[in-house]
Amino acid sequence: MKLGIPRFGIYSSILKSFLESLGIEVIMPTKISRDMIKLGVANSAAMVCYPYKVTLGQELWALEQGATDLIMYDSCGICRMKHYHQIQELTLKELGYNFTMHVFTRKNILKMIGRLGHTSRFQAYRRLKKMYSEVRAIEERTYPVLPARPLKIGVVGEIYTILENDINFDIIRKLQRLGANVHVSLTITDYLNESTERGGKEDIKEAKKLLSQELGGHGFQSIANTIYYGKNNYDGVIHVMPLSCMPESTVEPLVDYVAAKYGIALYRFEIDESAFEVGFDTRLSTFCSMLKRRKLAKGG
Amino acid sequence: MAEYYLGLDIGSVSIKLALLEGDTLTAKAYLKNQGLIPTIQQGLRQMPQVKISGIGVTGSGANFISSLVGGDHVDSEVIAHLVASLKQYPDARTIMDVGGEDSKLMLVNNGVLTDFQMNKVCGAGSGAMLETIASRLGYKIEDVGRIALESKEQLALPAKCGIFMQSEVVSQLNKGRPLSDILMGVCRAMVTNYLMLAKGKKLVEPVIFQGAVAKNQAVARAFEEALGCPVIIPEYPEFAGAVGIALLTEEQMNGRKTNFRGDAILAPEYLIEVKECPDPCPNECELTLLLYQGKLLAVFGSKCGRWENANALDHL
Repeated sequence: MKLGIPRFGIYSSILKSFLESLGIEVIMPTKISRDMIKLGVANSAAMVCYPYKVTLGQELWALEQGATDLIMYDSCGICRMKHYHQIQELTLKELGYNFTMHVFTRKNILKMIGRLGHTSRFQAYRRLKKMYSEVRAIEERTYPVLPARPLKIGVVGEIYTILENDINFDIIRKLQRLGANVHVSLTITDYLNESTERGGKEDIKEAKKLLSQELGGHGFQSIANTIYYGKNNYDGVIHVMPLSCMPESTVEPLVDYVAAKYGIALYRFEIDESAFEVGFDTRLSTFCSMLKRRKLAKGG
Repeated sequence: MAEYYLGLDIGSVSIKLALLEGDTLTAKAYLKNQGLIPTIQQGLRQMPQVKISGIGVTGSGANFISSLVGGDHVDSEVIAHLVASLKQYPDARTIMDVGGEDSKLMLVNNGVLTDFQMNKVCGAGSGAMLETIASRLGYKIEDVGRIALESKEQLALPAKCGIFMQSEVVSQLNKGRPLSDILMGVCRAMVTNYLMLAKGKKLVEPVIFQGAVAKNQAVARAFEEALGCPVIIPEYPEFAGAVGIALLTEEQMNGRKTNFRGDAILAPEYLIEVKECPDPCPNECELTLLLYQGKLLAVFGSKCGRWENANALDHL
């Protein structure tokens, strides 16, 4: 079996070596290239969201490299990402590829690993635990809090776009270079622990008042975490989403409302294949300049 | 002795130079962007021969130009526009900048920028829209405002896409509508497009309107109609960015010596080259090289930033 799997930001190499340790041959790109994105876009519906196009492009690439099996991630809740693996499987089979599609969710990880790696559930659990600690370690390394950086910025939004630095123009590193300690509201550790809302019970209650029904994706978390950042003296919040993202664009006005309520600066980036990096950089550095000037005015 | 600060605003359509003596604008140049290096050289030749104490660069590709001219300070165009505006109007609450392809909206409270917005994927709320229509009709962009102000009847043109606007304009012409009404309609549509930036935001008076499009009186009137309040236009609205970055540079110098390369910039031996990064790395960056007399001055465009270090340049 040759297993093709899309990248997942800073976790990609951990995921790859974990699967390899199970004795599986893994095909994962070292970077999501322009060509892969083009491939994905060419074979997707126009208004489907960016993570779909990007993962489809990587799957196509993997199949060309000889993959016999594919893994696609599943999101939580009722976001349309939930059935992406089905549409992708259909699309790819229509293109004439022959393969087996596996789906990765929070709930079926143990089962999946046991099946793919031909190990017992207990073995799978032990290995998974080791991987968790590696995941935590890389998160601590990637998002360090340095006292020299003057700003504190929280990032909320759609999980794949936040975490995959190849498609979000490396936003975290750029913010860090601009002098910000970045707090990423959704990490894999939180996702696996099912603790994606930061604040206490009250913050969640406040967010529930704004959005009482299940929306899917991490739309609810975007509201709750903006409340948390607002209450905890963060300088700004950046809301990252793929263009046309259902959960995130639904909560847009609610996130705006919460940000205005707590007086926290907010900037929103809608990312897709047509976004261009120079303009993105200008807006990002302007946002940081604005926060620094605001801070200076408050202090003086 | 008076100190001179030079501000350079690199726009997509035009390049602006502003020379400040203290806080007053003593010389200025407005040039259409026809290739970065020659245009900047031409602009610098138009500046008086004075000793420059600092030079700042803003706009698209500011870092690149900064290493060409020996810039002392680089900042985003939003901040430059803000600083210029607040210098003249300290109680400004809303600042609108409409440029050739970019449009920006800044909200200010007590002299501090609280929110900003820039156009993201569409230029139909910027000067490009007017320019397209004007050239389609065979008029100069400078005349649009004058003609549009003669409008007698209000014409409802659909706002949105600048290309579709062309066919709308032609169909209105076919119906025999006067040109002035049509052009005023286009100005209104542009304003409506621009105000998409203000979606969900409250625009508070006083409103400052700058950028080259602010020279168009018809657009100013359309803004006043749409906002229901007067808009204030500075004397030289198109130089706001250049003035702002000059002021910021002055603020940042603190007795530092300027890096300004002076007349060396005017030499003809500058060359821009585009090359793929030689390192085998999945990023596959496209690098922009700035050469002077065959020697590498600076490299831009690498994601990892390794070529920004001067010592690394020898290995390229």
